[in-house]
Amino acid sequence: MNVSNWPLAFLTLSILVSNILAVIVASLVVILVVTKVIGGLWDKYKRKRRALLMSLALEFLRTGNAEGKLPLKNLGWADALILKAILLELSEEVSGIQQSRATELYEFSGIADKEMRSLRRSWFWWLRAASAHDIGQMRVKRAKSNLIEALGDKNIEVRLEATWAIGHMGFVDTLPLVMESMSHFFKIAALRMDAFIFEMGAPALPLLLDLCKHPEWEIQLLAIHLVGEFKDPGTLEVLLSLLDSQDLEIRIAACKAIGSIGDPSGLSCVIPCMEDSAWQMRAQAAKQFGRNGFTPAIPGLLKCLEDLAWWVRLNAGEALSQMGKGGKIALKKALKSPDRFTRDMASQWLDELEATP
Amino acid sequence: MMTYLQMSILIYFFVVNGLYLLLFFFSCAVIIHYRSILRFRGPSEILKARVTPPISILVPAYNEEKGIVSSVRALLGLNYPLYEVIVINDGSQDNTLGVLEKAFSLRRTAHIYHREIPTAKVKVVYRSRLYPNLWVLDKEKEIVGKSDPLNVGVNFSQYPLFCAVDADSILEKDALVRVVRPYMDRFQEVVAVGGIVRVANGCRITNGIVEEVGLAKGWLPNFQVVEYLRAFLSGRVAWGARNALLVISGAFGVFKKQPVKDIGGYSTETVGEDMELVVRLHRRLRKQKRSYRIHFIPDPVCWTEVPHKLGMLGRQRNRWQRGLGQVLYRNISMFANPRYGSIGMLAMPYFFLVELLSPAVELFGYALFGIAIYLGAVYWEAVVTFLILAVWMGVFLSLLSVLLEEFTLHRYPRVRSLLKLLFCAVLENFGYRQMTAFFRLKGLYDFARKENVW
Repeated sequence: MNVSNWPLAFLTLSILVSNILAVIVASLVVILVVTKVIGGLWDKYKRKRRALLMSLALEFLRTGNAEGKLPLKNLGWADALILKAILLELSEEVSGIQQSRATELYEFSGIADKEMRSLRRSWFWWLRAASAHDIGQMRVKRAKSNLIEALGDKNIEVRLEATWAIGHMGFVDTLPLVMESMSHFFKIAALRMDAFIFEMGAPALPLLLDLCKHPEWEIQLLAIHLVGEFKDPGTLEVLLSLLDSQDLEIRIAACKAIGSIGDPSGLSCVIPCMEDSAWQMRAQAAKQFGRNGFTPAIPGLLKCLEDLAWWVRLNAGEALSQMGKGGKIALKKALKSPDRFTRDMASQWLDELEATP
Repeated sequence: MMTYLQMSILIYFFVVNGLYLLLFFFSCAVIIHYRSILRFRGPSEILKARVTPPISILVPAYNEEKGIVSSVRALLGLNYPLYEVIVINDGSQDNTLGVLEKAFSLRRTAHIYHREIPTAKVKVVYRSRLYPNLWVLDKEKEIVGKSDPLNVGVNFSQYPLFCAVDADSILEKDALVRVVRPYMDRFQEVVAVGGIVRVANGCRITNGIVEEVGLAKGWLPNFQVVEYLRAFLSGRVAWGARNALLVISGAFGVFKKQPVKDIGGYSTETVGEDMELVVRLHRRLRKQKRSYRIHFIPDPVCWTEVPHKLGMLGRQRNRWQRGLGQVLYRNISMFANPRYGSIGMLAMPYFFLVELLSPAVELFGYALFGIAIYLGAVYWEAVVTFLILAVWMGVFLSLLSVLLEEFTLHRYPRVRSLLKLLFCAVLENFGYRQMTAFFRLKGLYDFARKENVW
């Protein structure tokens, strides 16, 4: 085949492709312009209607007068959207009876039903996630089963929003289900679960302690982290037993959690960890002692300054520098060590101490 | 012979543009998805969380006396719960160290430099009296380039993640909070995350902070705005989503420290150290059959000054092309190797056939069709049509990138800027593109001659 033999076909093809490209670009430009115009019009309409709907909603929240909410039933989609935004906004500002009235209005206006339908059926994950969030924020308790179902959603954002909603409404019994659905996303799960646990409070603790022995590694890790966040010395027994785990990650997580609690009885039991076979564990133990200024660990920390692992030496030195007078004396003592690395580390942290006002 | 050459050029043209389109549409979906996620997980949540991993920001500085203070000041003002800034003065000839000492009240420390990755000697470690999270390392210059100072920074950093930035780049206040999001999702798996780099020329910058986004007065930087949009929004986003991203810009990327240490840090033997590191990470982790991810986030913005003179642009493109050639050559065994999955079978061939060879093919194509017309081996109408289509295709791809930016990220608030960008997207195909192709061809030639000048 020769290019010179098919100029007509090539010409036709090129013109066709060029036209298609031109149509696409032109359509995109038109869409851009239309989007901007519609956006402007919507903003204008929203400003106008928002004032009216806001005054009606506020009136109902203030008085609770059943007649006052009647105009807010069966609104058109645009007004319903504006009212939803208003109620979500108000729910963050009000509490007590006004909060309940906001939820009542949310249900009465039919928005709650729509959201629950969307959470169950929508094809788009962002709509399901938004529904889960809104239901949680408005505390629609009858949506509990929908939210539990959403914990199994294939999209992580929907699961995260459902988790938040469940926590916001304080359904403690759902904790194991929540943990199972979130455990593979450790950090983001821990982030959300921190808030979740905070909302639920102490009733969640027994369940969390059970989960610290869960057969699944990731759930166990998440539960240990969350138990630590409670800072309850009553949980030490379970956490201390985990220091003997075969799994290094679990041992480290338990050590961190004990450090977060900061109780001296718990920290005393961490002292042997400075002789753990894994350097990461020795370094972590040193860090927790420093964080809590736990002076009984000073002899062990001095030994750690001679450790073969640099990170252990670094953390031990830093820990000693955080222990006040006793630590400073220990660091000065380490300056006389026959080991050069120990001396270097001690002088580094003494220098830091001198420079810190 | 002439016929086969012409046909090859045509096939190459259609394949390359088909790939560009494919990448573009794939990127669209990824960016829309990303924007939707942001609705539910804003930066404020990550900022407040106690589990957010701390980051060490590494800033290699060589003769940066003029801008280093404002850059460091901007870095110290970032929104992030826990981070340190490590400036590595790479044997500057000017007063870089002096201005830092004065501005941040630096003091000499007895801090030990632990050399896990081999590097040049670090002479003194300084720490700021005003900002305890600011360190300045004064090192000897042994090797040209950023690799050695970056390795010094990796060795010295105390946190599990590090962010490599150029001394003349500006990070947006929330850039770190946004770029860390993939680590929050799956910390165990994610080893690196790249962010978008944008052109700072024409923006109003005060004390190292971009106050107002705008376009430069000259055409050259604005053509590069379009080019950057095309490269980042439609190229890297798509490759990142396929876990086949080969480049994380040296101007802005966040890496997990341990895997980088495991592969010996940045290579000092190439001018494309940023790409080389990413390719080596892929290589090692795929070899080990580890489950890992290298992400690209279209949002966290790093602003950088681009060349505003042709000479500077030429040298930059030459260096990029040589770097690309070196990296591909060093990892040639990954090319079309199914053992490396999408990297071996898709990304490497794409970078070789499209990114490396395209300037040669493009300029060769122009010459070939010229000769063919002269010899009467082809109808000039066919050639003109082909050229029109080629230019129109380039215009189309550039316009799409600008429109994608406007629809999704919308960083240029003024209508005038948008119109100017759209105009640049058309205009860059008449001269600018051919000129950069020439610079890149020269880079390819220098690579073949094994020139290794920074």
